[in-house]
Amino acid sequence: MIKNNNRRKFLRNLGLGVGAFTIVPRHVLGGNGFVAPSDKLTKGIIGVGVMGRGHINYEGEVVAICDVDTKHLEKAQALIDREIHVYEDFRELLAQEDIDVVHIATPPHWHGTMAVAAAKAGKDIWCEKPMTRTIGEGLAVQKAVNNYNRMFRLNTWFRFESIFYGMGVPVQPIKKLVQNRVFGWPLKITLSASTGFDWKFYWSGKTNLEPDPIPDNLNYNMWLGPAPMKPYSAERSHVKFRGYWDYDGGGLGDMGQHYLDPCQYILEKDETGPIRVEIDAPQQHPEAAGTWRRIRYTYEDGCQIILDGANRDKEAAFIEGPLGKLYPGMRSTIPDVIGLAASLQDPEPQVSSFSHSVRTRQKFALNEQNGHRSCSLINLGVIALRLGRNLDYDPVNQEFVDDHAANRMIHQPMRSEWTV
Amino acid sequence: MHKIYSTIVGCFLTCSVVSLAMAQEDMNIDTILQQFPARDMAHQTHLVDQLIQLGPDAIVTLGLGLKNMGTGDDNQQRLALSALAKAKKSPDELVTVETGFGQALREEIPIDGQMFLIEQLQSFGTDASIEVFQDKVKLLCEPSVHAIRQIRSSHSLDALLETYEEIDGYCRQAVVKSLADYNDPKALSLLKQIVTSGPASNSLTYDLALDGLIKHGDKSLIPILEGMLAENPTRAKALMIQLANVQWEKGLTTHQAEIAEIILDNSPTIAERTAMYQILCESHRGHTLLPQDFRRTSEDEALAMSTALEYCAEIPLDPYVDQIQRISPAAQVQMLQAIADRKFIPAIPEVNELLKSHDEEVQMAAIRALSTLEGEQCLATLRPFVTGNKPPHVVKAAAEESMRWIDSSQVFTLEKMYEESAVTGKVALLGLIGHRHWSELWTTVKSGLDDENADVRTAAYDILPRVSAGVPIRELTTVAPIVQSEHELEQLRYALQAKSRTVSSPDSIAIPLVETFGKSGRKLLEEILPGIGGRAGLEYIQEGDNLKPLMAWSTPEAIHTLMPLVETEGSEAYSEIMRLMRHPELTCEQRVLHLRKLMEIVESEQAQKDVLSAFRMSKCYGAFRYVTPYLKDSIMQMTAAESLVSIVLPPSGEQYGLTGVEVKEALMQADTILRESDNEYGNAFLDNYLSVMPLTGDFEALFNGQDLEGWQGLVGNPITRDTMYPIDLQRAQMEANGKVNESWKVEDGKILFFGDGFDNLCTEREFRDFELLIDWKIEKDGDSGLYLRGSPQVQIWDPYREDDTIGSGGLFNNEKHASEPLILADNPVGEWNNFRIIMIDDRVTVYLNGQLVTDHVVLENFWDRSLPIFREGHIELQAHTTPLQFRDIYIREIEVGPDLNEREINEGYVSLFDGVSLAGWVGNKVDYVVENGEIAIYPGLGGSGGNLYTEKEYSDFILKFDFQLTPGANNGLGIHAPLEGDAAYLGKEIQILDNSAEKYANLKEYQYHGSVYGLIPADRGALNPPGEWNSMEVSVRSNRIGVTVNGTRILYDDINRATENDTLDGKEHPGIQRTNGHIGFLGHGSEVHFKNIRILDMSEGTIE
Repeated sequence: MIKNNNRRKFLRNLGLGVGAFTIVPRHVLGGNGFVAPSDKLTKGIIGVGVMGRGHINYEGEVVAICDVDTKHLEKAQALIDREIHVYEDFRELLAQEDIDVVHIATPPHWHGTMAVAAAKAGKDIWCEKPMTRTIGEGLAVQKAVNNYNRMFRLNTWFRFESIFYGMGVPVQPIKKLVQNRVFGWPLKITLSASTGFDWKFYWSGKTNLEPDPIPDNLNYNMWLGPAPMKPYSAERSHVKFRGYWDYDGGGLGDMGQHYLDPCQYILEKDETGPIRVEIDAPQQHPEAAGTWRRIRYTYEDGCQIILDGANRDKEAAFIEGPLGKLYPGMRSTIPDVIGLAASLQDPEPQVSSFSHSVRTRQKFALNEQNGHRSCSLINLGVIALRLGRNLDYDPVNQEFVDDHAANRMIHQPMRSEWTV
Repeated sequence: MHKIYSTIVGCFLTCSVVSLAMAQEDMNIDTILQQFPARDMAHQTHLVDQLIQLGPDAIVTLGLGLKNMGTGDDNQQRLALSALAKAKKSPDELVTVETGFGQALREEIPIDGQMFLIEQLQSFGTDASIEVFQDKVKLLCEPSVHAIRQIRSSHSLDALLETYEEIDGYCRQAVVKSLADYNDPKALSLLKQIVTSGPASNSLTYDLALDGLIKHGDKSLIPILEGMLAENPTRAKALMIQLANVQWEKGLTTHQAEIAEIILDNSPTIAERTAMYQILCESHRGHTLLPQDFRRTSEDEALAMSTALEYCAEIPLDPYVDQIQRISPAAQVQMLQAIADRKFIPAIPEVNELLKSHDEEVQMAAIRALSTLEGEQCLATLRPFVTGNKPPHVVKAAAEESMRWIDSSQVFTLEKMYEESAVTGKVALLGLIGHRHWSELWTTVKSGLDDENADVRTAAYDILPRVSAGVPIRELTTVAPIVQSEHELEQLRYALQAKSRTVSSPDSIAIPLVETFGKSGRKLLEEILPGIGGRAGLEYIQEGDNLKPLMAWSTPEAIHTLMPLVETEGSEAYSEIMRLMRHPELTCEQRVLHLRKLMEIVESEQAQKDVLSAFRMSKCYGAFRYVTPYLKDSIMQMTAAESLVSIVLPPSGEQYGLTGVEVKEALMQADTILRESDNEYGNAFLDNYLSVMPLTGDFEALFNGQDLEGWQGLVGNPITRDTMYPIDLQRAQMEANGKVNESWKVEDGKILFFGDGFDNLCTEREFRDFELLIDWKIEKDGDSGLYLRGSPQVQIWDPYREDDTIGSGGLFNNEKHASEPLILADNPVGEWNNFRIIMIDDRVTVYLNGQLVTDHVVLENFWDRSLPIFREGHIELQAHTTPLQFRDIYIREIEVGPDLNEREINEGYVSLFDGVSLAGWVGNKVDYVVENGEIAIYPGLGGSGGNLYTEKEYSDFILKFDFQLTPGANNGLGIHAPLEGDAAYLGKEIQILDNSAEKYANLKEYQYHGSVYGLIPADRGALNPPGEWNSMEVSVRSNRIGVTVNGTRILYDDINRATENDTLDGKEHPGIQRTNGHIGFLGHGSEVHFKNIRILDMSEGTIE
């Protein structure tokens, strides 16, 4: 636990990284926090499967890629028309000095370990969602990012740009309305097909898998990394890893952060979490993620987020409060809610460009602090599902109340030499 | 119990009580095991309780059922074991379960199974399991070590230390990692031992041990790290700093100074120095290593200290602020940040001094600091920085900070500031106005748009789109004449476009523009209107000769105009059309019509593929029908397959996309084609949808594309036909059929009307409720229509044939209800249109080219207005003297609500379900709901989990209904049942079950669908697959029970005869004796749908 709040801010704005290698960011030296615009930021991408190859086009110039599958590396290289470094072991990529930002686009079971290692290596980090597979790893990433003064962002963005799924508008007008208590308090948010949010249950895992021969192009040991050693099956690796608890959290893990992060933002819960998670689901297989009917998060002040996977309540509003309701497409029980939102004061500005964040050392809108909190919602749900019971949670100490088995799932063992 | 007696009687000497007990236990374990996976939490707890009661032996049995991956199905065992492991257990229960797991691990279980058991033990293992874990370390090192570590007791630490000695190599890594979790000298001592003996002798564990020691903040590391300085100073210093941090977090403040001294003695970089200062000032605030002020500091020291100061709240700033003028500009910047952050008001005079610095960075930092310290009062000081001739970044900073204290109600202040500013000030202020979308400052912006200075103009035009939303259109039009360059015109265009998004229709912007500039400003309008789009603008543009604006049009009406240009203008028109195809306003049906037309025009293979590819956005049946045949074309099939998948798969947020057997078959073909491609994602989605998509919802073709099979001529009208003698009707029909060819023919897949009379073309079949799709085309002044249920009509005509412009799609012959379409949705006359017509009961809904034109309107009975529309009838294509074309006619019949056919009504059947409510039913009305004319059971809605029963009781009856299962579904039909208690035993249950589910592969024969549960087995093989509907008939007469599924009799027996010796399942069934009771649906936690429930009650008297 970090005792001094000032300390956190210091570490945030300092920009002077201290790590195992010499890394003061090339552009922050001697107090001149001003980057010449011609100084392009460079990036290295770890994990160049389908998602990772998309990262090639994000801001920053690719100078290195890394993957445990040589086929992925070939495909990625074909998309880049200049000389870059190509690695199989991410630790070698982290040792490359001229990389400013590391993009982590591997399956989630690697995110924690790689993010911490990248922070130690003095790199800024752009990490795919969900942030980490376990709550414990999330805490470790927060600590490392803080201790090493890195900038961290997650690859989801709805809290600061784009149309927020079924609502048909960006999050900003909704945030303004809520912030001004137009619907009252506390609020209940429902995420379901009727309110415009699809829980992708096709990411359910299969059981009774047959082991397959490991393809020549894949370093399976490195693909597994910290995950338990189990015989290889094509049904459980690339793309399909989402359906298995060892690597991810099913549909909840896939879309969870996109949907839930803006909800935490809207409900002003960025620095805390729920006190209770309740589920209604069939028993989950110990290895394969399955479907669930309903998950409900309750906060201390009475706010709730309901994930209605079965879409039973077709009349549900997206937001329901004592003074009014808000439906998809900004329909509301309150007249002219769009006009009202336009007239209200803007919320606190957020840094929505990661390169700006990196250059000025100001925290990005969606960083390791609030990102861990929204990712925790996913992990709380996953733990409740896997245990098959409702859970009480202490969001201050970030541990479960009176549930040993649940607490043992906060920090989960990692294989081999991998730590976090 | 019957069973026990017969067993004892059956085997005297060879049976023992033990085997008897085992047999019972086996039976019990199996029954429990079969119920996994549990349907919800309560069920899971219940099953776990039952298992625990069977003791550790049961767990061993489960463990023995585990298999290696790929050698068999052990899912239920895994589910059961993990439920046991994860459950909350009382101390006694914990002992039972842990003992069971431990015993199981001592049996011969395949290795994957052993690993599974150990993994499960990680969630609840205690010291009692340490021995077992230690035994398994050699075989399964990591899982076992992790399991020991999860216990986190002191015994577990001892075990780990012991284990370390007994193993070597990679296994030690797991142990060393685990030791880091124990805050215990014994653990630390081993870690230290590893570190001090150096990396060479412990290559696998050295780094992990070092990491672990650092996590503990152990001070004994300091000399070790100091020793590392010679070889690897950077790493050594970094680790030392990390150590200092960890200690600080743990509240240990005794050694930071020692570490600081070492680092500061060893050529620290700025970063290292700063980190140490910061740690020192937090832990040892007055320490001599920290510069006490800036009088004798080197540049590095000053910079590091000023950076550290920002966050050391404990150290007063005064001594440093006093000498702020001495230090380097870089350090000054940091000090200013510290002053601002800590809101150190006494520093204001120094800050003001620094405003005069020659260094831009310092100036900017001072501006920001002043703003934070003084708030609104800084405005006066900052004003000259905004309005004066300072460097641009300084001006910008001053403007930003000033704006913090001005809100949009102080427009006057800002206006004045702007007027007084030099170019840089104006530019900065305009930027900020734009950033905040302050349209209140329109006057200022406008003056910027008209300014002489190029930079100011640029700034103003840059923000024009951002303020336009709040500015009236008329005002925006006044900008047009002052525009001086291409770029400025472009910005105006964007602004008008942005404006048009805030109003309901682009016409409301286009029309005023045309009014103002129509005559003299054609060139200008040609630049601006394309971005706005809309019909009014398009009309205006079409009056001119210039095609360029058309090529840039932003809304899809332009496609009609562009299509003929593809042949003359070639690729530009084509690209523009393809771009517009993506427009969100374009409906699926309209897009399909356009793409079909385009496909006829383009010639190159690539263009054809592009067009076929563009179908992917269209998730409607018309797109599916058009694309599917291309699956057989060897060149186009890959493109067709990709498009097909997109067309069929559900849109985001919905569960199902297109459905039906035909769709599934096509999708499977597409799947085969795609498997050869590399599309990883596509296949995952596709596989899943194929396995869950409903097989209902097929359309059938009413027109085969070749001839008029299925169509006939018109005889009178439904009323007159009804009064004719059958033989007369037959004759008249034959006559009418003979004349059909005089006015109707088939050509190129289209039905053409070329006659000059009123001889409608009618379907041979009659239809009740349906969804109809049909494309039609007329010529100028054309007139036609669609007759539904043999009655007029859904209107088809030329909207411009008279002065009033009324489109097609209205129910023209209505007098009391709506007879005109809601909007004009017709395509230009001479082009194809598409109708989608839905008729349920007497209400009609019409979509014309995808747009709603008739909304659930009653179709009046033209032939006799005193009657409602007929319940069923022919569909007719109206002939009205003008030439007509029709193609692609598809229909899907809809079944809604309880539908007793005539025969059943005559026999005396009565509906038990009205299609809209649960009237007549009692019980669990929370999980059982009415939806789409069906009764659906969705478990887990919060209901008791109980059953749904009829209000009335029945003794003899024939019950008929339809049901649809989901995969693995389990329900049941209770008969002769009381309202409370288990209907299967207190009444009788006719099982409802998805026989095909894998998990039901090994049930007892009396557990399958249609069986009288536990008593009489039913035949299998009559059920349709889950997702399809089945019909079921259950007849009960005295003691005879009969069950028929999908027309096949699967059970018929006398219940007394079947149970005269004992019950098949060996249990007591008091319900056998009951001859009267409620009928019920017995929910067992699965989703099932029911409809068309009707009963012939024979409870009084008998019918043979």
